[in-house]
Amino acid sequence: MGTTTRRDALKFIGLGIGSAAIAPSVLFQACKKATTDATYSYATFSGLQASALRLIQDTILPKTDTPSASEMGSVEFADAYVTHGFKEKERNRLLYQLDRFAERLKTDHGGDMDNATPEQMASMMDTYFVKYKAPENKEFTVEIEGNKVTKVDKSKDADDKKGDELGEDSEIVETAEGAGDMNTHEQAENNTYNEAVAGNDELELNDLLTKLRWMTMESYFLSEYIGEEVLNYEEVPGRWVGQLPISELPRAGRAWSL
Amino acid sequence: MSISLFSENSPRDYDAIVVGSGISGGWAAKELTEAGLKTLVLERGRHIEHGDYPTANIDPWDWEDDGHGESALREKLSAAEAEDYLKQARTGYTTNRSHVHHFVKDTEHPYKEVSGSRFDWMRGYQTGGRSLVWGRQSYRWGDLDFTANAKEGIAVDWPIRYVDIKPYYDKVERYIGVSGMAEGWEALPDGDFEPPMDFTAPEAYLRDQIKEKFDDRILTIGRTAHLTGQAGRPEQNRQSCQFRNRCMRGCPYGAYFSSNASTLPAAEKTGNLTLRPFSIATKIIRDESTGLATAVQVVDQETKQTLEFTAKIFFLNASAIASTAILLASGDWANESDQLGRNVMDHHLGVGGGARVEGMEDSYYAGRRANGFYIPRFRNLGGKTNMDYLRGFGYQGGASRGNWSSKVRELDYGGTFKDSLFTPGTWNIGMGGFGEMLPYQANTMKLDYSELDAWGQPQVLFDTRLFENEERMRKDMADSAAEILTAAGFADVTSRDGGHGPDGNYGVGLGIHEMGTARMGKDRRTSVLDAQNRVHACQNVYVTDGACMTSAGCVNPSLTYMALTARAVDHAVGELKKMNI
Repeated sequence: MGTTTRRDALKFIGLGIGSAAIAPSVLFQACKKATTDATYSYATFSGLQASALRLIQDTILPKTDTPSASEMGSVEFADAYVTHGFKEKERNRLLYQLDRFAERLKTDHGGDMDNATPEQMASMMDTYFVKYKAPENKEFTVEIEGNKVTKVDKSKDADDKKGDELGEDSEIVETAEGAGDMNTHEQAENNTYNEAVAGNDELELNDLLTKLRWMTMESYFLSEYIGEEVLNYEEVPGRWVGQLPISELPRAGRAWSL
Repeated sequence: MSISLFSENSPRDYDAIVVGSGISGGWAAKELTEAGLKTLVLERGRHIEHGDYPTANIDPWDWEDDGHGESALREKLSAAEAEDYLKQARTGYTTNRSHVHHFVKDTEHPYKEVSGSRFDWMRGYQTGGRSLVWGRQSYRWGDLDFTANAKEGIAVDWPIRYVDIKPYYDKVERYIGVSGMAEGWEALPDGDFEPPMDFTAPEAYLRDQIKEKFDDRILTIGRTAHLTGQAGRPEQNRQSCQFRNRCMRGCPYGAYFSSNASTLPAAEKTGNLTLRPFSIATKIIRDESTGLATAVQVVDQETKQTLEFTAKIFFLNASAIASTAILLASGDWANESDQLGRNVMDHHLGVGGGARVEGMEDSYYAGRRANGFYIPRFRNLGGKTNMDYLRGFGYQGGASRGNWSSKVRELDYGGTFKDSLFTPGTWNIGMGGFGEMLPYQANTMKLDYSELDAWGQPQVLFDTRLFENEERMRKDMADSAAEILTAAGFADVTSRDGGHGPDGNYGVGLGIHEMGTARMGKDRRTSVLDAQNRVHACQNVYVTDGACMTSAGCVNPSLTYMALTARAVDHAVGELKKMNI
């Protein structure tokens, strides 16, 4: 269980000066530090794998007038997530997939994980994610080197499950609190590593990009800077207004972070 | 004021003993102590003092690594941690990191399921029990529910009617505080409510649409045990809801009702309360000559020492399953009807519908409401509402705007996509049914002595499933959800039944409304408890948790357990004064 020390400190500051006045720059720097620190040691990823990851994550959420994914610590997040949240088989699969991504980038585009262009990355994303069509049957057979392998696409079940939780007691909203985590959980459980499937790059890279996409979004939008300083944030709302004109939001055009 | 915990110098003899400190045990403790009885509350788990809620103020980014990757995993347990909670994890939310410490480890507290059947037993072993983590939805039963068994010839008749319990519903509601609005709907008696929580725009629209297009159903705001008035409950030191929606972590404001925040401090105030944590009640000891209970046997969870505590009155409030397990272990006297451990019921769920709401984009909300809307039972109320199955169901649902997480499944990436993630998403609306399950002799819990737990106690073995009446109701639950959402003109209406049983979405128990294992009845040959919740064969033992239920109704049951408890204590205190026990 994590400690509440820092939270309490922030809250205390918030009482007096207003944390918004001092927090962003300080916290932003703290987050940035890890990604630019060459000596950062990853628990699971090799240097090459971390580079591949950073490139993919910053393609999914690049820098605009808000920071990029890796600037918010997405690589370190993924490293911790994969180290502790994945079972060994699933972890090995992801590492294998990252290696295949680097290899495919080279053979498809002559690109390199150290200096791939945005165009090369976009092409990889389009091929293996945006335009990729999984077979429609829930159960489908892949033939690999003469071996028939049956794989079950559980994505529909995952949808159903999420829908059910919507209607459940007043956990309706409680569930929304951890909505990102729920996706995480479902995806992780639904992707059982099947050794025999390894070798089908289309399947593997689509699976990789699907997983990395939610992991990237989750690390980004549940980061302190985005959660407290960019989105609308109230730690203790103190009231419920069921119908608030959107024009009356503290930060115009932004969603609530929690 | 902290709760007085049992110490070496504490007596072993009391006026009353309450087994369990959860939602009904807390009420027994409050009522007994306020009547002047020296009362011992036995809690099998650790003690949690109100306010001792370590995760209450944690935002998703506040988790710090403690060896499990917490900073990245946040609500998700690590692969290693999750191994301890394989059955508790079946709900999909109980094992979230922010409140997993309010649930048991299945590895420490095992139970068994007959092959091919499934029972999802969610347990919280701590002071306050599951009152710390309950859904807080609070609805009264009406005579529709109390007379159903008799009218349809199902199981046995309830020995009480609405008139018997109404004064206690009034008393409990006023004390705990239930936010809601009166509707004058016959199938759902009104109460004395705290101010209702607002609807969001699509919910208000749906309420109006239902009013306009159906003459047999209504939509109201969820009735939930939160204080919403200005004043709160100063005499209980409880404040009004702050709309943080972190209830299951424990509420530092005491805004929702729990034993910890409300009834146990009230009992403490009397000076008559002693609470003993780590006390696993194993059996009731009954004097054959008088037919009355004399003591409760306890195994200390920490020392594994066996102890006995004596009293004049015993209240079993250990939970629908655990209270019955204690009675089953106590001797044949408790089961002369052969009904003890049968008729396991729950509310079956995992069926409902959803839709996308077009428009209303200039409307949003502020705050985090831990509540939704409620569509009370509208089936089998006579005439055209009668169906090809018995009883009915209610829907709980809500409408909210998506955020970044609702776009996880879109096939997009890049700067424009990223910028869109900061904006409020489209409105979605969804509802799920809570269906009444009939009492079946075949749905059982038994004690299995083949593998004892760490305290030398038998494990509970479940054999439970749904039958044809539930199957038919589930079809209607899915179809009617789609019918309502379609009639309101929402887009992309879907309905679903996630299935049930070992491979399905729902297993009996998943509603966490388990009940019925020691039913009340008029005849000691066919029921375990009498009209006052006393064991027929042992008239100073009262069972007032979910075990006592003769049928399940379709509304969340905790309010009824609390009201029955207050009623039973009135009776017990009366008997004591009359020197009958």
